[in-house]
Amino acid sequence: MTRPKSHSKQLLEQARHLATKETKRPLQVSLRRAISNAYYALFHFLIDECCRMWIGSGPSGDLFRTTMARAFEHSQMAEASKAFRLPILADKVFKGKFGGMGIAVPAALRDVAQAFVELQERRHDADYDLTLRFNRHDVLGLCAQVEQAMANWEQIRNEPIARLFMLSLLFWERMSKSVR
Amino acid sequence: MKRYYVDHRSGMTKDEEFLQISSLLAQEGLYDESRGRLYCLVRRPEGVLMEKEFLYLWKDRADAEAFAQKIPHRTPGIWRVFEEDVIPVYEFLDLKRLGLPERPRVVGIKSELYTDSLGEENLRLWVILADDTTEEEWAWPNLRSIKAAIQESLGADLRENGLDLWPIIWFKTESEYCEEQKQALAS
Repeated sequence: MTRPKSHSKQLLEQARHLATKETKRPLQVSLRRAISNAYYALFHFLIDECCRMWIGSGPSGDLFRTTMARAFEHSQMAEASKAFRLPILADKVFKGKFGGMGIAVPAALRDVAQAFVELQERRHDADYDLTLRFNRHDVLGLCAQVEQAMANWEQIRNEPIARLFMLSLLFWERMSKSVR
Repeated sequence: MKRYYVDHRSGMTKDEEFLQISSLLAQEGLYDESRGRLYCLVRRPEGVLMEKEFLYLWKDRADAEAFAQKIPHRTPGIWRVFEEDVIPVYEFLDLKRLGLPERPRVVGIKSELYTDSLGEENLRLWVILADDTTEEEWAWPNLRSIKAAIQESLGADLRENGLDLWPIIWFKTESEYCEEQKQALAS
């Protein structure tokens, strides 16, 4: 069975393939699908990391991880990521004891959060706004941004702040004070 | 920051109106074609932003009103003088103040207010790179440096104006941008 982490890397490889497959003038549809793939590479990467943190990486957890992975929502993940782009988590972000602690967010995690928000926006534009035109180098830059985000994540994945981020990706609406 | 301006409520200047007002401005030595049109954010009373396009901004209300008097009254009722808080994004994006790297060479930055996928207002920025930008210069670390410089500088300026926006940055070449503008005008 292909593990989801490999799935993320395959998506990113395919994104680059799509962005470069036309040697001269790239088709806009290729660039649009490349952006979508790059976003989903990061989306599935983060979900996989969360599921492994809570359930473990062993084969006995496959079914549980697959089930848990379906619980994540794009908009919740983006809202959570927006809060983690700042050097210090805003005091008003969290309910309970995390609220008011003035928690520092390391640069590596801020980059991951920023990449997620940006890629989700760009993916939305790529899929729904047919008036926009994309530049191949810009799209390849987004692929590199995703790759960088994955590398940054490896640096901080065992930090307590990374655990808080992963919790937030799933439970943002219930954890944050900005409940609608 | 208080500024004064002549506003056209239609949102975009029609060609005829543009010629009329730019000609009047030129007669008074106020119109500088090289600056292009000025896109500013305007704070509405209810806190919602809107983007407006201007040809000239006055800092003195009397001057603005005097100019408005020269505009023919029969211009379909769209010309008015307002006093508002204007957020001059075009000044924040002035290339001289952003501290951008020399290469790749950024020749311009255009902004647009839009509603993001979560329904919140945000800015979309088009960073326009020179046509002679090489393959090596298009590398991600270079683009990242440009993005970081803009986000840091513009973010600080916007926060000073009470706006917590994280613009989404796109890159294009000069010729791509010009071509798209031509197509937009043609359609």
